[in-house]
Amino acid sequence: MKSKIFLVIISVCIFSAGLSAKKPKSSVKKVPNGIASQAKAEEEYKKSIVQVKISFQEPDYFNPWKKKNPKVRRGVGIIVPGEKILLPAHLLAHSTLIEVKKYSSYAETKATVARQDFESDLALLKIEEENFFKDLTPFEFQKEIDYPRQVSIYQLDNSGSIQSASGALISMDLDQYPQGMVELPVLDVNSTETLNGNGEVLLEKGKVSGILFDFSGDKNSGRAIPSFLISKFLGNFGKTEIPFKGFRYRPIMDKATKDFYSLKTKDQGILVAEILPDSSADGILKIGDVILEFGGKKIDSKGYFQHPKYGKQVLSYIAHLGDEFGYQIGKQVPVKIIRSGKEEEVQLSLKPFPYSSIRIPHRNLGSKSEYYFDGGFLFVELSEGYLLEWGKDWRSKVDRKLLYTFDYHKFSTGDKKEGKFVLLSQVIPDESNQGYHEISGRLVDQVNGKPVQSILDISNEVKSSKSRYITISLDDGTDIVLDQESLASANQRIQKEYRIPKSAMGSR
Amino acid sequence: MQFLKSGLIVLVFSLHFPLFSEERSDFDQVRKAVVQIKVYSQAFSAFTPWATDGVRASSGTGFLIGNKRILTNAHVISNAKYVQVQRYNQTEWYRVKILHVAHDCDLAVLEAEDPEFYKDSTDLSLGEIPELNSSLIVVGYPIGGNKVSVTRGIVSRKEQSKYEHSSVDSHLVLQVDAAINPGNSGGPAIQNNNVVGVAFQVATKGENIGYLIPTKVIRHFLKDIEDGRYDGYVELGIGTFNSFNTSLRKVKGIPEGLEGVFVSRILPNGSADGYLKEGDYLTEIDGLAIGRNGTITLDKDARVDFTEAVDDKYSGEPIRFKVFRNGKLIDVEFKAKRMPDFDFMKNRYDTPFDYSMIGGLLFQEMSRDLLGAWSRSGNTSGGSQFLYRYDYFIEDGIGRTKKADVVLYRKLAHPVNSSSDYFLNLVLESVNGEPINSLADLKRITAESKSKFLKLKFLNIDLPLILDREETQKADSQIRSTYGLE
Repeated sequence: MKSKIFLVIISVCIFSAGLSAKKPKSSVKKVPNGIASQAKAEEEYKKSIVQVKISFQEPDYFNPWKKKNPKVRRGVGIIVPGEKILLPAHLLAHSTLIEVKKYSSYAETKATVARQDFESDLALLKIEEENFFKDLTPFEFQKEIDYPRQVSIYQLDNSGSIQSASGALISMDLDQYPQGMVELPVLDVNSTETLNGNGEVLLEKGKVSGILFDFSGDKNSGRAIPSFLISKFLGNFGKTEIPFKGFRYRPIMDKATKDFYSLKTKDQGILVAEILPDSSADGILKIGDVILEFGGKKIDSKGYFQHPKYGKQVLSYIAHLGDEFGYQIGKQVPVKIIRSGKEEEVQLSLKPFPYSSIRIPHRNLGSKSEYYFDGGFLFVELSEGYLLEWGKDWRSKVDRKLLYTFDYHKFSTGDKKEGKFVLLSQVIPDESNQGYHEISGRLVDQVNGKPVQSILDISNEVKSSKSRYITISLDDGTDIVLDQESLASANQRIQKEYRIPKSAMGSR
Repeated sequence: MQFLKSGLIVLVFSLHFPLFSEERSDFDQVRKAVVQIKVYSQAFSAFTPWATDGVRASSGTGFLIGNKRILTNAHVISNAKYVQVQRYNQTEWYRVKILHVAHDCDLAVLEAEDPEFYKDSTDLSLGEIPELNSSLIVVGYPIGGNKVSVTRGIVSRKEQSKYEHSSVDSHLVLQVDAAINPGNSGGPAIQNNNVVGVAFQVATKGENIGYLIPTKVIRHFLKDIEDGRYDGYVELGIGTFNSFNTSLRKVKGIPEGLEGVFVSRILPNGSADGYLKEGDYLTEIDGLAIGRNGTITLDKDARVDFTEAVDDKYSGEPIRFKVFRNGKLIDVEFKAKRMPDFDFMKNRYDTPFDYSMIGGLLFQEMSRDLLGAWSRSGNTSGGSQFLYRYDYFIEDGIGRTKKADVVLYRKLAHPVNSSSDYFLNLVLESVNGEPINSLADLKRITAESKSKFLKLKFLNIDLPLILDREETQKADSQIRSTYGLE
């Protein structure tokens, strides 16, 4: 390190000495040379960046048989080894067509998703067309990130010419990515230039430090995926899957709490506050355990440990991206705890996020929205996407019971799997469903006296029930009755009158 | 809809009515009965229950109904500290005492202390419910002057509607297209020399739409206070669902042509609790046939919700239903009673808010006023939990097992409560393992506790808030003096 600085100083000295020795004419010559070398670098990077155009259609949660109007978003992809294009995964949400354009071509080439990971917000595209990658050069990645640090930020504009901007890596924190459930390192980037945050590549000395996935022009700041997380996604550390620690914790700041949990030292330990069923912590940790050490690192009272390179980082770092410490999916993390006043050590065996315990699906997780529409009754699964259909102020517009359910029952608790929440979303008026037309957005409790935990519970009951009438009970005590014999004719009328596709109706 | 007393400044146009001579002499009689009311009031604050709000002046209208009694709206004299009245041609303001206040139907009765006030006055008598499309005059002292003002209108609708003063209660109202303005509140609506309503609220959307409390509701109030005490309205306490759907009727075995509504919810502690059942089919109330949409006939102008029949009753009076249950028509009779469970959802007046302070942490039973104060304070974290509990406390049967939700709604910062922010705006579930079902529970448990720690467990949060009991007690007096608590 020292020697490098020394070298630079020397070269500056030589350079300035040269300048003073030569005539002004030659110094003028030097400047275009400098630009030329930068231009050369840009020429070089051009071969590693592509324009990506994503046509997408968002689902319509109020009318789940149709999609919203198609739209287009654009992003930046970078070439990575193995003839793949890397970009932020959230750009691909609800995509109908992905096209890429490289510097040497005016035509757009169709791409398909090779792999995507919502936790790290990364996706790989592959191209069917032969020789597409022939004149393209894969990027290399920084092994470690230095911050604060100036970086160059590159993207291709529509015409295929490279646009460079400058910015600064400010800090690194742990946070959830747009569609993820697990906190992972995120770089904070500042730049006064116009950026979109849709995949621009951050370079330092020609190597990738990160990919910008979010940018706010008002605040001149954005967030980027750090290079080492990308490396993990690309399989450079072995396993690509992201583990999840499986518990949430609370800091221990005040004296009363410290005394209560028998903590003697001042800045030490956090409290296990919540445990997700089927997660790494399930059956290992207990609520009320105090964690003193995690993966051999001392944990302070706010949940931080001292990372050898990145300074204070949240303990989640060790569990979620602890490859450098030897922790990956399937590996055991030793945890030193105080339980009921006694020190113990337990082993946390790292598992991925237990997605099966999600009761209210996250907005974009690529899954198709489940619904059942019969006789004009539209049953949907309660999801974040459904709630967001109320628009920007959805929190003040939706029923407070649904809001509460969303805030406090997003995940299963305890040992039992509690299933999904099913709503009678709306009733499309028909003569057969007279009297029910004004019902909307009510939770469904039971079908023929059996508890409802998924959309399928209702459609299966309708399919398999021997009786003519199916009774569906709502949470406000109202009973809905479906008459098997009139469903077909009702569906036919509704299909014709409201132009709803036949495939959307009836048994599923 | 909005109160007349609300801050809306509406200019009053000086309207000249071409009155006929006989009407003019009648109007003289009316004028002698109408009273201007001047009020100095001081509201209680749910957010800062130990302190007092500023004093505020307002005015309204009332009228004499005999026996020295002045009838006006409850909202005119709510939170009043000092009330004075004056009639036209008088120069003196006369002090009055408040005899009865009924916040649930927005009516009150006052009496002036000085007999001089009643000199050369007349009393108005109550008439019946006016017909649709009939005209009436509304007399009062609307904002913009202290001279009596008259406005003419037409009865445009009769319906059950919410009384904004309590914000929960719903009774019969008359909608009139008359220029009713703030200050008109409590003024009489006159038709054929009789009072047919009391002006009390206006629609904020749509011009010249005002609302009157009909004489049916006024009479109910006057009869209730005959024993010297106001008991308030009774509640049936059920939820119902229409019976338009043929499949639903078939499944429930309702005979062809039998009209009525289904009981979908029995609310805990309501009049019907223990007598009616969910799934019952109500066909008649007090001999009046209930339609598929749940209405009964009021008069030739209007069908109203069948609960209007319950609205007429007093505590202890019987309610008779004809119910189709288990394939048979049966008679079910039970006594009407008040339902105090709803009180926390009503705007509160005239009484201070009870609270508990533990180490700078302020607790209160959830109430409408607290919710309002909370939303005005702009602190919305964790809100969905208690917003849901507030909205569904009765409907989802939470009130069956506890009197009230006690919430940690505010913190007066002090080192002993440094870790409590996380728990703000959450419902307190238990302290040291003992359930908290009312503010009294909390006060009792914390007073009796001898343990080193107070473990405050909040709803939906597994880990409790830990306080050192003795440290908390020591801090209390310091907090009281720092923050100016009495």
